[in-house]
Amino acid sequence: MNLLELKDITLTYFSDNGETKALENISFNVNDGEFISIVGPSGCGKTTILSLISGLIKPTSGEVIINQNDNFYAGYMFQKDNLFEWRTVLDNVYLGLEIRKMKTAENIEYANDLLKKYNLWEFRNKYPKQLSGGMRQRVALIRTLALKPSILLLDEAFSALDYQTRLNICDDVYSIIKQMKLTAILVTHDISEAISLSDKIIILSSRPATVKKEISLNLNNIGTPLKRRECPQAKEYFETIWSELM
Amino acid sequence: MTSNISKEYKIYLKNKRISRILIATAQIGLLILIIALWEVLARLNVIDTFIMSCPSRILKTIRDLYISNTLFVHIFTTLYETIIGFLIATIGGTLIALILWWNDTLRKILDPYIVVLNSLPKIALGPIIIIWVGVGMSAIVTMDILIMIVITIISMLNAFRQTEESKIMLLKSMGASKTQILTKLVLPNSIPEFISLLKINIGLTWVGTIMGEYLVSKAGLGYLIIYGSQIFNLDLVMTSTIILCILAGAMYFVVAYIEKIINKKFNN
Repeated sequence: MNLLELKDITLTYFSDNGETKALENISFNVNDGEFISIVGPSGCGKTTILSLISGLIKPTSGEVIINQNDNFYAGYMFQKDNLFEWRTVLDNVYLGLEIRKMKTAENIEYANDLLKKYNLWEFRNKYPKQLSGGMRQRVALIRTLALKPSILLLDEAFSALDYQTRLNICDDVYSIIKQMKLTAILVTHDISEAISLSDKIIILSSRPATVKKEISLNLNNIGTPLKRRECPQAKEYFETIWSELM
Repeated sequence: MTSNISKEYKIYLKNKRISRILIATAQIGLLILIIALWEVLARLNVIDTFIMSCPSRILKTIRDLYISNTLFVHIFTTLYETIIGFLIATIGGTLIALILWWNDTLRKILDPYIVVLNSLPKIALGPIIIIWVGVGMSAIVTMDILIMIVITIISMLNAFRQTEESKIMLLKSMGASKTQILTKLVLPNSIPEFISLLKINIGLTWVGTIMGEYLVSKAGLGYLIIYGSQIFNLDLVMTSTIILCILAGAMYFVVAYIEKIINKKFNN
């Protein structure tokens, strides 16, 4: 089922130095339960696409069509975990519920269950600075999941972590996303990461960004992202994407 | 946990405690030494008590003030002005900063005015204040507020504006209103800056009050200092100055204590 659709999106930024066309005629579909990665040269406007989907900015022309009647919520995860230092893990997880005024007993229990399920319950009364980078990013993920997002937007969400943590978190997040049958869009500059996680990879050109190529991957039977990174097909995909980006 | 600490750690703790006791002893000792030296030199007529005063005469002055029932009148007058000015300037300045954070256009319009007001020496406004609000306590409190309020606005506005953009984006992506961004993020995020502002203002409010009392007053410690110097009663000047020292120190410790409580709560 088609969850959302970007249709002929063009976005132009205005500043004192003139106007900059960031996106041009961007169109693609996002199916329910699909994991999509967007790769492209740095500064090409990958993040802008996520901002458009989450409704933080409006396109200059074109539209984002959402095929869900009510309660569409795009859970946004940033490169920084953005945990509030003055709140405990538990209160950080409840933040979204407070903001969206849905801090009901039922939702609190759901959030608590998530913390228990992903082994963070015993750290619920700790403050963010007492946690490791990987744990902090997992708390940030649960904060997003607690709001039952229709789609997960991951903006270089693993880039600030050290390499080993990053591989582990990638595996964790992948299994969570698959278990919960979530739809996700990942923006990344790491081609291997994109291959290890995605069903589909969208390659953007440099500014103004256009969709250069869409590649569907067929690696779901291989297993975890870590295994997918190392499989022979991954190398072929890598070369295809690499040559497109050159 | 205490049962299995190593011998080395015990020594470390012991050395630390010894050094702490040593410093505290030296601090108190230094104070006693200064007072004793002052008194002895005065009694030996090495220094002239007419212009230097001495501890015994200061104690006598305090007793005289107490007997004439004016000691606490002066202390409370100054304390009252100091605290009222401090509260109004800190709360008022923070509220103004909030309004300017909320309304960016207003902030841009008022920016040059704030810059100019900040660099203006507030004491220059003394005569105008007296003419406008009259002589009396209100003039002193006004002077006190003027000393603090501009710097309060500037520091708090900076603190509010330094809130991380990505955290604001996170709240916006959750659909937060501007009020929610303020209460959930900007305000708690600015608490450390607010505490350092309290410390700055504690210093400034004494400056403002005493300056105000120098300009126009009928009571207060600043009044006693000016009055004492005019009739060349240095005992009175020294006594008031020392009471002022004690009060200012006490007020600083109160704020430091509040800081400790807040930091504990926010785990900083």
